[in-house]
Amino acid sequence: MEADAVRIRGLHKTFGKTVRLFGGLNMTVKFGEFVAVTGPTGAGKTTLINLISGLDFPTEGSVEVFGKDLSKLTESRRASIRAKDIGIVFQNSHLLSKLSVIENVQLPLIFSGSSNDDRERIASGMLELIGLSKKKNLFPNTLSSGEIRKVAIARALATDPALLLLDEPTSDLDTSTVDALLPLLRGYNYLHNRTIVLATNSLKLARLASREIRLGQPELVVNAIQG
Amino acid sequence: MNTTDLLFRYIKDVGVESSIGIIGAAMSIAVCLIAASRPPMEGNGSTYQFAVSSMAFLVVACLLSLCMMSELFLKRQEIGILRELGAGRRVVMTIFLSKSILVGGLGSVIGVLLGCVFTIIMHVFGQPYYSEELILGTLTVGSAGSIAGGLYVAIRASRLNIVETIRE
Repeated sequence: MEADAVRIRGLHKTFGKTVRLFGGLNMTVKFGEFVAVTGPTGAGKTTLINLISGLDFPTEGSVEVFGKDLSKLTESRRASIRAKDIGIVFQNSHLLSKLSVIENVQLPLIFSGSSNDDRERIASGMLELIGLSKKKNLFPNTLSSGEIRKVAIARALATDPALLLLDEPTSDLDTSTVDALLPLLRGYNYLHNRTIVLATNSLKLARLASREIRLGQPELVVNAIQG
Repeated sequence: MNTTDLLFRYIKDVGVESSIGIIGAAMSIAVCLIAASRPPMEGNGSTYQFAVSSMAFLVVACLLSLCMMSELFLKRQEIGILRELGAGRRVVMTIFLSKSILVGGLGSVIGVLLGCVFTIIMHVFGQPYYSEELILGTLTVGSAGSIAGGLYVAIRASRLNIVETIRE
């Protein structure tokens, strides 16, 4: 039997002595599933994305991705999983200003060990897909925020990852850009049978997903605040 | 673009901190060469040269680590993004170590040239004394100092907390 794409058990994450997140969250995301994680600001949506991508570690509990407990892997193994199997789109896009658009898209392909020819071909193909092939040699500071977000999505999809993590991918984007991105995400999940975990506050975006996981309010430790 | 191009993109980016590193390393190595080329009239010359070389090594190592730390501070977020995209610790270490060796190496070569010029000028006041061994030794001290200073920063860079750096 194939392992789940993501399996979280008894998750707690504490920040300092005052904020506790997740309250022992248990969740499972099956292969090919599209899950939306929603919740109020500060509920831990971004932290959950960080935990699933192996960038951060739980205070208690376990996070398994493709059947592997990330906190038990070496740093180089986690980096390798991020490079080959996980695509991440963060709220701030995180493009490197020194690199051109096509070079930014090529970055994960470098770390996943693709050949030179593949890198050029795949990156050009991804930019064609999002309609930015004419701007491939421009630098991120010359692009609009919508275009930057599209490049970040193209970069995340470049390695054809089995798991795509999206953190508020449409925040501060106009309606037409959002409408252009939605079929891309839905198609990636439905046609390519890839797993998507989407952290969002947008109802429109959450409706795309096959299942919604709602995070609760963070727990504040009153004694610690007073003490 | 491949890994080498990416590394080169970061290494060739010479900012104020790299320039200070090159100038500082050059001055230290030049002083080292001048001092080591004139052993004291009395006492053990090799002990004196060892002491001068050790001081130069420490100065270059401290200077390079300070310059690279300042560069690391400026590039924290970019390093975090590279790590987030799957770059291993080795890639980050290579970026900082290569740059430190380049800056320290360049500074050492300039320093040796400056040192030789000064020693020749000082020939008016006494007998110049520098040999191929002394020049090679001074370059080795400079390079070793660059590696030591760079290695410390490279290790720190590779151990940055990714979440904290990308949040900035």
